[in-house]
Amino acid sequence: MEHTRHLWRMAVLLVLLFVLVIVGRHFAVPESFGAHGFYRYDAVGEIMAIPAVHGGPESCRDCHDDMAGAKAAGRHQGLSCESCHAPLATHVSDGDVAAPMAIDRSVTLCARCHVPLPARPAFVPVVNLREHLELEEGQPIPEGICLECHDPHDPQP
Amino acid sequence: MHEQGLNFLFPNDFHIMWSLMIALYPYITGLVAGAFIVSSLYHVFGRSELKPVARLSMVASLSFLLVATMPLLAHLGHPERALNIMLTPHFTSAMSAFGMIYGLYLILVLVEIWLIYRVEIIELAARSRGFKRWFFASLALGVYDTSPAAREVDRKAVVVLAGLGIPAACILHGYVGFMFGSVKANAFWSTPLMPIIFLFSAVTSGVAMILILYEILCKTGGRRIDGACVQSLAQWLWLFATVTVTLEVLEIVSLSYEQNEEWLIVGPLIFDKIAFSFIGIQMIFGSLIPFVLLAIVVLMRRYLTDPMRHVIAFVAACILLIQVFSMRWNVVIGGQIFSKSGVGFRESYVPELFGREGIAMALLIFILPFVIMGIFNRFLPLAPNRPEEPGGEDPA
Amino acid sequence: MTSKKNEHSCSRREFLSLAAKGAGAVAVVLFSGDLALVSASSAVKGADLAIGGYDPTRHRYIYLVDIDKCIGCGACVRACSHENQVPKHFFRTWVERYEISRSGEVAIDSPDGALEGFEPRATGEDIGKAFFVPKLCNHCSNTPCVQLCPVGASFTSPDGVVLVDQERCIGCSYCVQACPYGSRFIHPETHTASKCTLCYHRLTRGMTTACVQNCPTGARKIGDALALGDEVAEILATRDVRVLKPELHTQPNCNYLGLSKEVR
Repeated sequence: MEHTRHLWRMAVLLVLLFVLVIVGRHFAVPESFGAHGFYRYDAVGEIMAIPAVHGGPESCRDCHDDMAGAKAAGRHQGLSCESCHAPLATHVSDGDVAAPMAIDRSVTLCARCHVPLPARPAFVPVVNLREHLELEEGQPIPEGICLECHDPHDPQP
Repeated sequence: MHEQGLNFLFPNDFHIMWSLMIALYPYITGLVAGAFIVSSLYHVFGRSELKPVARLSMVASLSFLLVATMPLLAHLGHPERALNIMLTPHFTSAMSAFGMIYGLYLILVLVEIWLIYRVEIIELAARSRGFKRWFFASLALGVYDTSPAAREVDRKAVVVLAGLGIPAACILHGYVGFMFGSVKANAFWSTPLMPIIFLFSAVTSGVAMILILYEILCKTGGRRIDGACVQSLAQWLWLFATVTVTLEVLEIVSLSYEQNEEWLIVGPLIFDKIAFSFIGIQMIFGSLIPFVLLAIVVLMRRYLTDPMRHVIAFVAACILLIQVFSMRWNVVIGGQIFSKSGVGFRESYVPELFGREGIAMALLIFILPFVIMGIFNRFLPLAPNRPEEPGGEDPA
Repeated sequence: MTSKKNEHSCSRREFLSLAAKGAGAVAVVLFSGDLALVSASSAVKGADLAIGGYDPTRHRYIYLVDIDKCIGCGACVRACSHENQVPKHFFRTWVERYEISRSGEVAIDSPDGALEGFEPRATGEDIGKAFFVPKLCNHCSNTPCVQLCPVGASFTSPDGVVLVDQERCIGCSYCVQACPYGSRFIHPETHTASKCTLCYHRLTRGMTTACVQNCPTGARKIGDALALGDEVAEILATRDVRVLKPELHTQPNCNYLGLSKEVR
């Protein structure tokens, strides 16, 4: 029996190690872990608490009722204001105006929806800008030309 | 679609996630498992001709094991949270097995080595002074029993541990293979063969490494290379390498024969995108040449002199080490070079030279186990205990 | 006789010590494993899970993409990138363009995920059909990414949204490998896994997701399977709806109307 003394000591050492691991684990694992599934439930609350950046069309209506009204009847009524402008959070902070709302007057903005593409469904009115403006070959497209004839909030036709 | 010149990647697929480090990790754990198997061939299966490498392979296994977490820590986005894998291991994930298996296997190997070297440790404790004496006395756990009965107890314990260690080593490396094989999203990785391929190539690399280390240590230590030992290692190496390559080829043949959708991207991958690495290095250079060389050693042993055998086996083992690394590389990197869209390839991946996941780091990590073995050898010899030395018959 | 007895008890002792170690090991595995598994399968207690008045067990979100309505403007991608501070060249959502010639040749592209929409492309082919396909995380019911996360950082919330715990994620990228749809990425600054969260911070406040809100044509819709008379649920129940890669049985909750066979 004496000849196994070293094995017993090793066994004791290993058991101590396991106990340390189990005890340590108990303190290291967060409390909300496992509340619903194999994850830390507090994370759900953390993700929920992220502030929203977009406000939605209703939030613009609070101050810009006239603009909203004009848009409501036109062909762009389905568009969110923020999709052409910028998210609410860039303009309003804590209920006050933080910075002027971005207004993009470029042709690029309109082209994103209205340039002819084979993949574009037929219900979108598309426009070959060069033909539409009757431009010569090589003539550059003037800046902001679309807005000279079309009101983006109520584009006619 | 690929023939049409279509090359479309999902937008998030432009970035390769798993780098050189993740090719290195299975390589190192493969060496751990393979070296351990060599040791178990002696302790458990009684291959007495492998006695000259029994201690060496245990220490090699431990040295690579100590280094095995380094490539992972270098890769993780948050290495400081690495313990999460041990605190909250999600057992539906193959990767979570790492925490338990690594820990248990490390303990097993440490205890086994402790048992093998216990007599030497006690002798060192008796001979040393000061801090060294205290260190080795602690390692001996304050027990100085070197009687033949105690040695017999040690020997039996080693047999049990070596036996338990075989499935442990298999799981330690098998889970890595399963990690890849169970990803159904990846056309190249997803196969039930993956854990077996990884395991057999791991043992191949381990046996090759032991053969190489043994010959080098004998040469540098001025000892005669034991011909029977090298012959045995060469035979095992030939066997494992043949099975490994058979499985690797089987996986490809299976995919191509069944003409699954996976083959539409895997075919161009291995025959075009990574052709040099896969066909050139892994198959022709890495598999065919060693197969022939080892066939000579195994089948024509009568015609070979000892030096010839040792050189041929050494060369074959070196090439096989390269083959196994190229297999890891081809699986890890090759599996990420195509997009999940199944119709697009990324730019080829070239690892950075410096940096957390670079070539320099890989070399450093790979050299470290040899340094550890060198330090170990200074105190506790890797060479087998000679019967004429005081102590006589011992666990290894 | 006595020495033989001693030998037996020696080997018994030695066996016991090893068995004790083995049992200890098993105990550790069981302890941590059981604790986790039991928690994972425990019954959901609705009242305990509510956060700030929102009860996630009373919702089950479902997403619908109508390919025939998508005009490829990219407003959704831009909205998402603003709402969620998505880093450049990584995507929580994107739009793909498919142009299929009459001879069956398929051309697919997604320039920077369609962040700036699409430009006309020179194709000599006689195009038979062409369409845009918006893509995002499918919030699968049988999701491989949650299954493969080693630390429980990737999870499905009680209302069916697949999320990532940014405090626990170790950045191993296994979930990125596991996703068959390419929906995930590792955030270059936080070094954790990131992906579409269905704007969870908005949904739970009664708002809709940024992409749905900014879509000009209603190609993207989000619904609640547990809400009576929900429009999306009605469509799922009555119309020919498809999902991406159904053969993988991930059971996506992002459904498509008008999905053609060429869509990857």
